[in-house]
Amino acid sequence: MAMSDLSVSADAERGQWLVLFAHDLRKPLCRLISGLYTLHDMLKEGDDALLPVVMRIINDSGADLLQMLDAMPINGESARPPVMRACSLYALVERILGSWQNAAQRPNVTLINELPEGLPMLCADEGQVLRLLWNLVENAMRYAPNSCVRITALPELRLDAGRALLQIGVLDSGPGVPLELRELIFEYFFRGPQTAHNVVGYGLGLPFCKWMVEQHGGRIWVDDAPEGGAAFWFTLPVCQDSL
Amino acid sequence: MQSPLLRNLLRLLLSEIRSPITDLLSHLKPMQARAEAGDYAELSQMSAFALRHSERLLSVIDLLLDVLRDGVVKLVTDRRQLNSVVEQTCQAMTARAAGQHIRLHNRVPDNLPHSVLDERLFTQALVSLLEVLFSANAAEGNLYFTAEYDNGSSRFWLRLHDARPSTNGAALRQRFQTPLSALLDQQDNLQVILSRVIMRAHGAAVQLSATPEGGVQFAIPLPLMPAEPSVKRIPAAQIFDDQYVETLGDS
Repeated sequence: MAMSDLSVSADAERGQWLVLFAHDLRKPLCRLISGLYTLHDMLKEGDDALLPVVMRIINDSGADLLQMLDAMPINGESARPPVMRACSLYALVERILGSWQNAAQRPNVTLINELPEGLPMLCADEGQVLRLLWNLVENAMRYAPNSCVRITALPELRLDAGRALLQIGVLDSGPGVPLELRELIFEYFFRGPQTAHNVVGYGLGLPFCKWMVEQHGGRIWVDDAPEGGAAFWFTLPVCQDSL
Repeated sequence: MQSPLLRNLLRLLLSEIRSPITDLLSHLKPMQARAEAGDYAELSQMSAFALRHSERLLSVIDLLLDVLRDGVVKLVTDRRQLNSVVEQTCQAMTARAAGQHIRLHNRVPDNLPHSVLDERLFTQALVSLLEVLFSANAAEGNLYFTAEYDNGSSRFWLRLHDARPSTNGAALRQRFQTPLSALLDQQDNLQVILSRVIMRAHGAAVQLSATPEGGVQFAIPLPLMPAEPSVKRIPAAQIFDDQYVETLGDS
């Protein structure tokens, strides 16, 4: 086999979702491993004060793994299309905040729900949107430690090909993304020159976000946050009957 | 992703990963019960098992991602006693073996020189070999791990002896001699592929032979690598090469 056969190109063809799904499985698996290590250390030191919290993290990670397996399109050439249902962005963000508050080891990042009131229901795959938000929040934690991460949305809907789309943002107060990297960071396995050696990762989290958003007919991009830092914006369809 | 081989391997992995994850999750619920009962000794043992299981799963996913991103198979090697690696393998497969009334025996001496290997991946390779044997033959019986070190060739000879006479050695041998790309059409070949790829990355090979009693034996000649722990990056093209020939003869 020639070496070129093993290479990955940014715009390669079918089957790319396989690598995204494989990479996505790492997240709950890593959370599970982290929880098990914490449990191991606690038991070794005879300290069970946080045992219920750690067990919840372990069990939640296991449940996430199972949910991802259930949603995984494993037989066939193409990915299963998203299951579009009415879902509440408020509820999804609250779930993330809940998990965040229960996390045993969270970096020094403040996570804030800044969703305006009165947003319509999304018409989206709830599991995918949850993972999308988690990916963006974890991305902010990784690249903008010691920062404030805000989840927000614009009250005005965008219209695209007759569909109403909600614009949702995950904004951090970190160093931001240089202009020349703003397209590249959504490419498979891309690692910025500043982060390749300092931040652990495969460079697949943002491509997965892009893939998921595009599965919903939306768009994702990065911009400057109003107060500095990076603003990751994406659009998702809303339920027409909730308008 | 351009390589059909890697794409198919990834598909195989994703389609087969449900079983080990389900197995892993089955250990989490009893852990909760142990935690609530305050049985911390048992909880500690169960969590150690779940941790090793999770880390092996992660290492297999990372193996493929490293190949896709960097074109290398990455080994994080350390000095290990083969005896303890085999013990981990046996522990990982105890429940599965018991379900088929198979008994696993670790007869690897604990005084061999240290081997240098990627513990998680190497354990996974041995787990994969056991999975292959369990799937190939549902009969009850005994499986034995043995090992010796050959000073002349500076190799360990690790052997997995399946004493059950009804194992179809010819069919198994064919699966271990078929080029990797030709194995990807069938889902049940994932464990064969994983074991061969990981062993190749360690400079070893999986050889299969019949035993005089009618069973089969895997023989794995594992070279003694430099004793310094390190991260090794082996070109994936070399590991996945269909022309790769496991040339070493049995000892």
